[in-house]
Amino acid sequence: MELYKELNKNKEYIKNTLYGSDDIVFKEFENNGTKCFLIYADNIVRGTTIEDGILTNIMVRGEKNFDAFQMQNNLISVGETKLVQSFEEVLDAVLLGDTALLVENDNNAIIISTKGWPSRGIPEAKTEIVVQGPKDAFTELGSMNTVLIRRRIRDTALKVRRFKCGRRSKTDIAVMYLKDVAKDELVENVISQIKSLNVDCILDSGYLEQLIEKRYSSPFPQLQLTERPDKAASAIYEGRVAVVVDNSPFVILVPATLNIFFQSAEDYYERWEIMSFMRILRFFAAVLSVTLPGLYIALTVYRPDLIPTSLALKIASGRAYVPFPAIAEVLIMETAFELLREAGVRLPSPVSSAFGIVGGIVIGSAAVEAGIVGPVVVIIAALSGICSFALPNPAFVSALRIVKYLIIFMSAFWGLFGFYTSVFLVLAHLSSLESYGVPYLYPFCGGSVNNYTDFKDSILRVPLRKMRKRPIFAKAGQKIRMLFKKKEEGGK
Amino acid sequence: MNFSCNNKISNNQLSAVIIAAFLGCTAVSAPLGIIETAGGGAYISVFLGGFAASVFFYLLAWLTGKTLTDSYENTVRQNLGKWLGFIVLAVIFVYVSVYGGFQLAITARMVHFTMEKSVSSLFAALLIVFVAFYTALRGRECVGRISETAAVIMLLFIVFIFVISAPSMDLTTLKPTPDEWRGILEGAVMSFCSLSVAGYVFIMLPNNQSIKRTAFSVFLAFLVITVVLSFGTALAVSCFGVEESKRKLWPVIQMMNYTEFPGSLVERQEVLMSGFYVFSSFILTALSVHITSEILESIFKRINRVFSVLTACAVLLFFCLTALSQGGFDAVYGIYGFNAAMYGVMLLAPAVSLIRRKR
Amino acid sequence: MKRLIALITVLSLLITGCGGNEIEGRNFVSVAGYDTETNGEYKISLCFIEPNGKDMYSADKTEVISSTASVTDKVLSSGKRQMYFGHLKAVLIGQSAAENGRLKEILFDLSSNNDISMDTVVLCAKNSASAIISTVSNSGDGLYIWDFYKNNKDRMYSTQKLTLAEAVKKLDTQNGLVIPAINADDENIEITGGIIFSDGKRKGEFDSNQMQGFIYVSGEGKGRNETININSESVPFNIEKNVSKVEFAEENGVLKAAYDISFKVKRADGFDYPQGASEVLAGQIKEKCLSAVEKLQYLNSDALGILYELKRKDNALYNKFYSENMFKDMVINLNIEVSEK
Repeated sequence: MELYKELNKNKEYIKNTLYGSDDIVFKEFENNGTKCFLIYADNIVRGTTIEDGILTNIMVRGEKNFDAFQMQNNLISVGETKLVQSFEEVLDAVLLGDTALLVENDNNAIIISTKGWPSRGIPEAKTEIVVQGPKDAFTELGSMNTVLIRRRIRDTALKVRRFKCGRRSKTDIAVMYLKDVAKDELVENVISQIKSLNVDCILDSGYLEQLIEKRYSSPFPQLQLTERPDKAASAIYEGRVAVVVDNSPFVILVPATLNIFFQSAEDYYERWEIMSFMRILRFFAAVLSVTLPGLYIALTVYRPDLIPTSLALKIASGRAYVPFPAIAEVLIMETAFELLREAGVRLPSPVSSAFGIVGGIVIGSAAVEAGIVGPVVVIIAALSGICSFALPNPAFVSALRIVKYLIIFMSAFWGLFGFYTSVFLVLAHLSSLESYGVPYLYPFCGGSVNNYTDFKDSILRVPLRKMRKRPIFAKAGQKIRMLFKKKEEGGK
Repeated sequence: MNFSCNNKISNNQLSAVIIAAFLGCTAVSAPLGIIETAGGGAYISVFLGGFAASVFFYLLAWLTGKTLTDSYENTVRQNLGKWLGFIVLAVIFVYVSVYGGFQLAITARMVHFTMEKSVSSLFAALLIVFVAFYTALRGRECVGRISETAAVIMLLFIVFIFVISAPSMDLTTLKPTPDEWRGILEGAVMSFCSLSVAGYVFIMLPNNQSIKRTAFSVFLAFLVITVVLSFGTALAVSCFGVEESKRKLWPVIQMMNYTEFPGSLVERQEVLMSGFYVFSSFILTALSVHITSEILESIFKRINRVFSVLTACAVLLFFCLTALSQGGFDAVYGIYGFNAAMYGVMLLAPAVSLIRRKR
Repeated sequence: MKRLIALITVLSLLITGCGGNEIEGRNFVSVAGYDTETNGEYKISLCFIEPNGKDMYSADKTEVISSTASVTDKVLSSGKRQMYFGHLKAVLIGQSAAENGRLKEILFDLSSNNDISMDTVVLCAKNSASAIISTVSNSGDGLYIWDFYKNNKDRMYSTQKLTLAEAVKKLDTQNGLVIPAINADDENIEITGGIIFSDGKRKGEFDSNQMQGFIYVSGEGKGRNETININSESVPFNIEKNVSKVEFAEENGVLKAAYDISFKVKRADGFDYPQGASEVLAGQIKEKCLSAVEKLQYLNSDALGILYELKRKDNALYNKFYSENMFKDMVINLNIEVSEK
């Protein structure tokens, strides 16, 4: 709807629309007899900007009868201003923290950027902690997050495409990518995917992530969330696309493969030998955390002959007075462990570590003492839990937790055959997944597309000097990211 | 994007599919009959027959690849005309269903006897078909990818076993006596037949890549299978002796029992190891279902994907049950004759198209 | 439609889910002994471990079952517990079963049973298997025999470890077989010597010296020890290497087999290698070997697998001399060489 020329009509319309919103401030004042009308939302604007940049200038320095255009150019001393003509734009801007100025006898409104949201500064990373490497993390402020990334990529090719998503929430989304590295179709695909959403609100990037995933019924995350600006920047350098969602301290990175969930930011900051070892350890841990409880059931219940004799006898005598079948035993311990984990999240942090230790020891040893579970199961459950903590990505760990139960049940029903079947099912599911055109299991399958160079950053992390090519995500002509002179190499 | 969602697989994936799908089933069933005819020299038979089959496959793949214009099914129908094309596709359909079904029956029995007694053969077959249904439904790329992962794991496993058990080989049993040569040649023919799974391979051929490279991938895959098989046969014979190997239902699998791992964590490794065979069987079944469902789709256009895969599963299961109900597996081994005959059927389409081109 | 199919499939799969046996509900059979009774039925004695929470395990349990079948495929349960053969460590063939020629039946049945490991040790009882089983089970845990082979390398001089796999392979390729013997009185268990089988029947026994000789001829003497008296002191030797080769030839219409058996030995107590010890050792070893070979030939039991070897090496020669008593009639020469390592 277009703005009227008459200020009163405009005033009436806006007041009616915003009726009941007590946090909106309306201020009427005059400039040399010309009536002006100022609207802004309380507390999300920077008050000093309004006072010094708008009100003082107009009320004190306004000598002539300026119209909106002249005011914008001559009076208002704020960097970012623009003229709009419709009520919708005025209201959107006000709700986002900008200030709207309407002038008598003018159907233009001036939108003055006065955003000054409450924010908590740049925090330290909480979920992706590294020993060596930058400690800063994203915050809830979308604009700040783009700054954090921009600071690491001082390249004109870094493009930031901003738009809004959510019918009612009008959340700011910024899609960031390197124009000459990221594949164009990937960028367009991501943007159109987000723009096509017709939803009420986007509250968090996790919310958006689930909405733009291709196979939402899969437990495995097909996009990566990160709270680390360095990780986001490195992803952008590789030709991936970062989606910054306002109000969320997590940035979405597209596309994501299974391999990526085993990479931690630290892997590239420390020496390659130890980090290669950590990679192997992580893959091992992932396999162990998923299969261990299922394997335990399959072996003890169906094929004790596969267990070395002395161990089999130990397990058997440990279970002699346990009243439950092995599956119940495993489920009890796994549930107890999940409960500890869930409760630990809610507890205030000073208490939670003590709670974890006490809970673990008490529940574990008391359950064994009471004869509810055998001692081996406690070890199995704890080991599978510890293994899951060794993986850097929480979303991926959650998927593994779900898959673990599938394997437990199938092993309980059909023994070793059930175990193999469930493992194959998981593999089949993983190989059917794709993340924005990249097979989920890449580079373990389809690696030939990029001449198997991506293996250098998978199970092993080869020396940085050897990783000269960008991964599969980059454009075809933009594969080289490091160049060394021959002489320099020879001189080593 | 560039390499997904196009229902095509790469050359490497083609090799992987062949290795993953056929290594298991040929390892389990083929050496048995061959050891019976060829005795201690069975491994020579396996190698000769396998090598011949590999060369044959190279030529066939090259010839077929040369005439491919579209997917294999469509090419056949274009070249051979509506009815002859239909018949050829139907024969391939039946062949793949029967072969897949019979191999499934063998797996199901092995699961029942060596892996999990409490799981009946029928049920094992059902579960495998269910998994195959899921995999095939996800399309050719899914089959290709999972094969690529599984083939690497399987080969690593096998090489590991071979390296460990090689020192315990008793080489004296491996030297063929002069009067065995006839048996060895007969065995080579058997091995050639058992490895000739022509009906499977060509439907998977990608049509947009260099033909020679593709044909070479096929050749390489079969060569790998041949080498692994002949080595496995040699190991089995030298570990068990000829007579005992004959009595074993699955000599190569049971041979793993005999290998002693240094400081092994697990006793009775062969049961864990037979997991690789079960994996292979999953892939073979999924591949069979996928191929037959694609043939169905090319014959009856506009068929629902779920429905065609389901039908393919049902047909496969039917043949599997037929084989299971027979008890023995004599009839199952009869299919190897059929195997070789498939070369003729597979040759028909490229031959006709080449002749037409010359005109 | 798609979901319905998936649901039905999953449900039907779940319904058919089958239960296993909990591990603590099984009795772990560690040793099984086979005797035959006068009516031809098997008398199977089992020594088993019943898991209970108090001790690590207790093993003072035995059970005797009469059965027509040698393998216990049928439900063997005392109360609700299942007899579980997955950890069977040793099989004892009793005297009666051995004399009745049941060896092949027992071993083939065992090897075709999937529960049973092919690494199971095969032993032959000098008298009844059940008596030995009861002694074994009274002596502590039922794993005595397993422990013996695992931990007592030094006491193995007059016995060998014959696994089920080896026994079955030998039964296939040769007509004779020597199974290590086990004997027990009320207190002691003794694993020494061997029982000689020919065509699946018990024909005779090796004493411990002959058993040693047999082991040397088979070329499996590595790691064993031999003690000689030299310069009026008794000196122990460790055998570090033992290689046995056989060549065949025809001489004057008689088949001849010539064994070349070489040893590398080392004095066990660390002192200097005495002069002339090699000759004395060779003489002592040769005596043992000759005694073993003579006994085998007397009983016509080709436990060394000579005929199989001959068939492999020279089929024509084999065919020429083939007869029932081929092994018995052949001339076997032994050439022993001992050297210091």
